[in-house]
Order: sequence, then C-alpha cells, then structure tokens
Amino acid sequence: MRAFPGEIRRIRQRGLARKRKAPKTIWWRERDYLEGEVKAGVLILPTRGCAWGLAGGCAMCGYVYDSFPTPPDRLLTDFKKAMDELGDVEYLKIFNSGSFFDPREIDRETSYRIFDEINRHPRIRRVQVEARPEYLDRQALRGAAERLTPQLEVGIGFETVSDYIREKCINKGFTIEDFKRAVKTCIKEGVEVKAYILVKPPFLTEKEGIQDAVRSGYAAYKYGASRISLNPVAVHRDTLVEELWKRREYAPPWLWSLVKILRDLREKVHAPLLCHPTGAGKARGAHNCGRCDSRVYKAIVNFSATQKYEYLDKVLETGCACYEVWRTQLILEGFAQGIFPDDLRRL
Amino acid sequence: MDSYLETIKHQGPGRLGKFHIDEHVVPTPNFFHFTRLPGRHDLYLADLDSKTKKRPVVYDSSFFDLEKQDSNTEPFRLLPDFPSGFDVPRGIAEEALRETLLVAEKYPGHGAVVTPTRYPSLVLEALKHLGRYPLLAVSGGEKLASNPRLLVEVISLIRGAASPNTALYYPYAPVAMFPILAYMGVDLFDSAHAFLASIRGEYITESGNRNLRKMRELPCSCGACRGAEPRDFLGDGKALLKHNLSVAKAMVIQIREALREDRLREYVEEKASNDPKAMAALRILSLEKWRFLEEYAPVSSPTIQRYVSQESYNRPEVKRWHQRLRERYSPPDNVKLTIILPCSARKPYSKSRSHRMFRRYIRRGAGDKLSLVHEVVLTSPLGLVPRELEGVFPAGSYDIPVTGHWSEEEKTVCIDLLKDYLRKSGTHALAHVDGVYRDICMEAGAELGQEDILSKSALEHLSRRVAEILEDYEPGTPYFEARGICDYQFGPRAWSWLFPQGTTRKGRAFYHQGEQVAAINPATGLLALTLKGGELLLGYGRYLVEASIRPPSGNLFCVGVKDAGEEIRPGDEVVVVYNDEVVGVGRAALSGREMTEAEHGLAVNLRHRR
Ligand code: SF4
Ligand SMILES: [Zn+2]
Ligand SMILES: [Zn+2]
Repeated sequence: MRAFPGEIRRIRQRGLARKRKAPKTIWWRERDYLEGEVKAGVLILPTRGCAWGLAGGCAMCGYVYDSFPTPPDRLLTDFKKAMDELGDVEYLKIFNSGSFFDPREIDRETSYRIFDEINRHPRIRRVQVEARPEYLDRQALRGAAERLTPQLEVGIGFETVSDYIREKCINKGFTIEDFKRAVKTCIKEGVEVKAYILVKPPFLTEKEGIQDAVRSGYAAYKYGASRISLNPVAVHRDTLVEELWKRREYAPPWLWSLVKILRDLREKVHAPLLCHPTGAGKARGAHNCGRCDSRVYKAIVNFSATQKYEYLDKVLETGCACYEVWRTQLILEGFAQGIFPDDLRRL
Repeated sequence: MDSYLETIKHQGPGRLGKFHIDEHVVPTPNFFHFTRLPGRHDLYLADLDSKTKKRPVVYDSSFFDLEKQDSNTEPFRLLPDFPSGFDVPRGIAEEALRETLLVAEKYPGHGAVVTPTRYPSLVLEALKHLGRYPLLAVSGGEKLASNPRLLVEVISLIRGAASPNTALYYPYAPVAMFPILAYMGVDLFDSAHAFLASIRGEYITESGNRNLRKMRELPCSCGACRGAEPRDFLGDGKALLKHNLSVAKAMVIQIREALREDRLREYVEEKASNDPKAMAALRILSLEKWRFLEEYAPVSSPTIQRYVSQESYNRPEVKRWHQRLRERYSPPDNVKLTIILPCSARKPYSKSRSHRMFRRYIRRGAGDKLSLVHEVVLTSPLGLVPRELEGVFPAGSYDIPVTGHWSEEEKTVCIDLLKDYLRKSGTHALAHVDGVYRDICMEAGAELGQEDILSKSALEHLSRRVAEILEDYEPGTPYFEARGICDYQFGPRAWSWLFPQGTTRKGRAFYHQGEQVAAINPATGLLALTLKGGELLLGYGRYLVEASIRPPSGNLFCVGVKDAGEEIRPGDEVVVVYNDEVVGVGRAALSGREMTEAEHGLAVNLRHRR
C-alpha cells in the first residue's frame, strides 16, 4: 500500500501549513487507578512534535498540530509551575504528543532536570511518559529509571495486534516485533508499559473495531504490558480520519462498544483497564444517541478509576433505545458496504 | 462444487434465473436475509462465527481476519473486500482494490466484492480480475443508489463485463430501487434497507417509504399490520421491521412474477413513477444505454405490451423497431402507390373493422393492380408499421391509451420514419388519415385524403384516387410479403438468400424446389426456419451459432457454443453450425454474446436437428 501514506502526507502538509499559535504547557487533574483510585495529574509539554507524525504519521493523529519547538528553559519553567499547581497528585502523566525519549523533542539533559523536579514531590508514586518503540533503547531507559525516584511507566501506542491493520489502516510505522522488543527492554530496566489500544481504526466496521480491540488488549497484556488503555478514535483536524469522516465514510465508535470491549476483556486481562474517551458524546468523539451519552461516559470513567464492573453492568441494565440500533449495526455493517450511516444513532 | 447463475429468461438485462450455490439451487431474483432473524428465506448471510444450520448460506467475514481466510474456504462464501468505503479519494480506492484483489484471487470459486464504484474505470479494472466469479456484490449501497447516473454507469458496466453466469448482488439497496436494479441485471438483494427504514421510523410501501409517525392507518394486511395501528408500531420497532421485511420480500417476488410474465419493464415503469431516483435511472438507462438494454431484450413475447407511460416510448423493442425499419427493412420494389392509414385498436390491424373497410375501397379502386399498392400504418410509439410487418412483435400485440393527443416526440418519430420510408420507396403517397395523423402526413409530403375517414364520401374518394393514380400502370407481379419480415428479422436483403427465385407460399409456409424453407410463426409474426432454410441462410453469414459439438439433444447448451453472432437476441431464430455443416435450427435463449461467454444454461432450443 503506497497511496494511503501518500494521502496522509498530503493532508499533513495541508494541516501543517495552517497558521498555528504557539501552545503553552497545559495541565489538569483527573481520576485514575493504581491499586485503587488515585488523583492523577496530566501535563502536556509542547515540543517540536512527533517525528513520525511530522513526516505524515498516523491516520488519526492530529497531535503534531499542537506541537511547537519550545526552548528547554521555557519548558522547565512551565513544568515547575505546573507541578506546583497540580498539587498532591500520586500519578503524573507527561504527554509531549510524540516520544519523550526522542532527543529532538526533549534532550537528555532537559529530561533529567524534569525528573529531578519530579523527585522533589514525594507523593508521586508513578510517572508516565510516552514513546514510540524505536526510542526505547536500553541506555535511555536505564538512565531515566535511575534518575527518577517514582516508578517509571512508558505508554506505547501499540494500537492493534494486527500488523496488517497497524500498517494499512493506521500507518503506524512499526511492527508487533518492534513492540515486543520494546516491552522486553522496558521490563528488563524495571520500567512498566502501558499499551494504548486504538478502538476502531479507520476502515474497520464497528464490529471489527470491537473484535480487534479485544484481541489487541489481550495480546498487549500477554506481551507484558502492565496497564491497558483503550483509546477510541476521535476525529482530529487535518487527518485522514477527518477526511473520511467528512465524506461520511468514517464514524467514531459507539460508547456501547467501549462498554462491550471492557467487559469482554474482564476475564482475559488481569491488569488495570483504562479508558478516557476524548470528545465523548460529540460527533467527533465516541458517541451514542445523544440521550444516554453522558450516562454511559460516566460509567466508563467510573470504571476506569475504580476497576469496578458494577458501573458497566448498571449502565447496561438501564440501557437506552439506541442499544438496539447499535446491535443492528453489528449485524448489518460490512456486507460489501461502507459504514453504517452515523445519523441513525441520533434518531 | 461449482457455483453459478443460470439464466432462464431475460427482459432487458433483467433475468429470471437459478443460482446454484454448492448443492443448492435458489430462484433469482432473490433476497438475502441476515441470520438471527425470524422467517423462512432462501438465502442467508452470516459471518463465519455464526453457527447456523440454515442453508444455503453465503458467508461473510472481516477482511482483517486474515487467519480465518486462510483456513476456511468451505462452504461458498462472499469474500470480504478491503472496505475503503464509497466516497473516498481515488488513491485510497486504488490501493484498497489492490488489497482486495490479492485476497480474492486466492479463492476463485467464491463471491467477491466490487468496491470502487465511485470510479467506473476502477470498476472495470476490478472486473478484469473478478469478472468470472460466480457472485459479485456491488458496493456503494445507499450512496451509489442516490446517484442515478453513476448507478446506471456502474451497473451496466459490471453487467456487461461480468460473466453471464455471475450473479449480481446489490447490498443495502433501497426497496424502491429493487425493480430498476433488477431490470439492469441485479439478481440479489438483501434485508438491510428494511432494517435501516425501521430504525428511521419509515414504513415501507410498494410505492415508497412513509413516515410512520404521520400515518393514521396501516395500508397493509401482513402479519404485523393486521389489526394494528401506526402507534402500535412505535415501540421497539420489531413490528415495523417485520412489516418492512415482508414488503421488501414481496417486492422481490413481484419482480420474479413480472419476469415470468414478460412485464418487468412495465413493472419498472410503474414503480419508478413513485421514486425520482428510480425514474432518473430509468430515463438515463433508456436514453443513454439503450444498446445495453436492447442486447438482452427478447425479439418476441406472448404478452401484450402495454405502452402506457412516457417511459414506454423508449422501451428497447420500440427503439429496435425504429432502428430496424431504418437499417434493415426496405419497401417492396415494384410498388407504385403507398397508402398511409391510421392504426386500429385491434391487432393485427387488418382484422379491425376500419382496416377491413379501408382495404375494401382500396381493392375497389386498384382492381387488378392491387399488387402495385403498399399500405403502411402510422402508430405510436412504433411510428410506422408496413402492412406485412403488422403481425411481427411488438406491432402485433401492443396496447396504448388512445386519446388523439400526441406528444411532439411521438410526432417527430413518426414523421422521420415516414419520410425515410417514402424516400426509399419513391412512390406517390396517399394518406387516408384523420386528426393528428394529417399533420404528420403533410409534414412528410403525402397527399391527404378526406378527413372524415370512415364516411362514405371519404372512402369513395380513396377508391377514386387509387384508381386515378394507378391509371397509367400495367398490373404487376404480386409482392412476396415474407421479404419484409425476413429482412426485419435477419438483416438487409436477407430475403435474397432465404427465398431464392421460385420460392412459393402455401398458407404460412414457404417452399423452394418442393422443400419447406420457413414458415411464419403466428404467435410472433417472425419466420421459423427448417434445416433447408438454415442451409440457405448460411451464406448470408448472420444469426449463426457455431457449436463445438454436434448437439446431442434438442437443446444446445452454452458449454457447447464456440461462437455466436453478436446480432443474436433472446428469442431469435438461429442456425446452428458444426464443422461448417448446418446441424440444427432453433430459437436462441440468450443473446449471441451471452451464449458465447456463458458456461452454463440453455443456449438454443432446437426445432430441427441432424
Ligand atoms: S499517534 Fe503517536 S506515533 Fe502516530 S503520529 Fe501521533 S504522536 Fe506520532
Ligand atoms: Zn442512547
Ligand atoms: Zn404490513
């Protein structure tokens, strides 16, 4: 397949040409789970952005448009300020919309100074960063793990267990072997892995999206990931996914699908399952009929923070008229036919 | 097991058939049902995971389940495509097609999907690889169906490029589009639209979908509707779905019935008048793709053709009539006077009271010079019917609403054909017509008789003028009427081959040197050949079917056809040749191209063989 990357590159160039404001470091608090519910802090560091993404990158990813080369000093000042304001979080998640260990995004020296700053906050038990497998070499990991007092966790966008889908539908640019190698290296260096699973990559039907996510979540767990995070596709600006979405050839997954995936993984995965859908309930995010969205979203978030399946069981029990539509979609979609019309959810 | 569709009969590209799937035989057109639903149906669709004992089943599975694809190839399956979607950038459609073909090419005996329907050139590319698969699903569903021009383009392209033994399946077809799709050659539909309509709160009727919330009564007596009211249907949608499914299924059965009775086209016209998209497709098809329609249109039918709407005027057999009059037919040569008459409701015209009267007065005027007179009849939508062709389909069996009002288009067709006829004939033309016919004849340069054509004075005027015009001529030899039929049927001057000097007529049969060569079939008005006739026509070089075997029985099947004339249409009289020898004559079941390309089904029903 050559043309999909070509199409992606074309869209990427168009998006990058659009004028952007220099983003600031932003942060917020949210609920998360570590052997129990904890307060987590999320911190977004603006860097030059994901190298893979800048060159074209993944079909659904618009993070590169939020990135901006920021001088290390500025980054550190912002970081310190954010840390003070986040307060007593136990779990810190640092996202730089790319790879933390890519020195072009964050040089080694700056990363150490970030770790030093974190070490000054004794309540923090765990720190998550994210990176593509190619940056997870032993040296980088060892250096980081040694420098950082809290447990280090690396989030990897595994997306799917299928090399075919990862290549053709997502254009992720690495294979299952790359992922497995990276996980092994992490574990050897005492670093834990959080695997991101993409729910409903473009070109998959709703049902395929569910099956793929369940298989992928299970596989990631088997390969050694200690936390599994489900990421339903949200439609970012200037991405291939947006192009398809505008032409009504893609629709983000249902919230019901997320409930099903989480429940299907219950018996299979003995590790925390996390899901914080972005843009839930909106046309560009995972959504249901509009009437039940906030209820189902809350159940998913409550589950993620507590790992208690009662939340999901209860929301299913209450149900909604749209549940049947979702079920019908699972039966009908995919017979030599594009996607199930998204407007049916809103009826 | 081999899977294939066998055509039983055509009405245009639409066909009645038998779909052989593994060991099952299913009549077509038919309707796919999704498993997990109640009811009895012939065809089911289910993914590989569904455990179903119902057969036959065409399976579908995810394109991304590559492991499964490698293991399970039994039973008959609809192979998945790379589901790029319909309205995607061309680059994506191209790559998706490449991926689809990589998988499909591993499983030739199965069903496949033609995905890139947004791009006809890619469809053609797909057909190069998939054209001989026993089942092709046309992707694009509701989106393609809402673009009539593209729809017609794509379906006619696929139907033309795919094997005649390939069944065409249109997933997600809106029920209102079933008839026009079937007419274009789609064999299989499904229940998806019934589901979508139910979700949308739409109540499907034979004449379109209604908003259930606005309905006061349910105009249906299916199991779900009997004794129910619209508000009973609002709840979970199950009753609505049940009704919608029954209408969708009934539509398919109506189509099958219409095909059996040779009135699919009429049914399509009727149903299209309820749906702008279907009507647009029908018009585009009739006006721009009539050659595609004509190729599959039978040359005769036992059913009276009713030309009741404006769409009827563009039926393939009507346009074929116009074309053959221009290109194949020539007026008799030793004629000195052409008499133009209006059509009659009764067919053939000569059996009608008015025509019997006209002809009595013409005979009276012509006396022993009657063979110098040739009569032609003006009519819509056929335009012009030379007397000797009045029994030929469809002239011998059509019905129109007679109002005396003609559209400009009808007039133009008529004027053009009449002018063309008179130019070829070069005779004086006398029109014994009234009303709108007078304008037409005037336009074509004919002499007009009196207006009140059934009045004694007008008829006597007719007699008198015939006598006056023929005054200076000697009586001629009678015109051999079967010439016109022969040329209309086989091509220009075909008569000189089939009826050599000295051919005689006895009743409906024609003899040469004491041996019968042909006879007029009273049902179709066309010639039926004997072996002798076949040998005579051999030299003409058309309507020949070259067999690869000596036909062992009264039926020649498509496998035994090596080559066949492109001009052959279903129902045509053909000469079967084996090793340069005439081995049979009979009626073609399919068009020439189809019987050459097909591997299954009847090609020629032999009347005589040796
Ligand atoms: S998803 Fe991750 S790897 Fe892909 S382009 Fe975005 S930031 Fe880069
Ligand atoms: Zn709902
Ligand atoms: Zn009903």
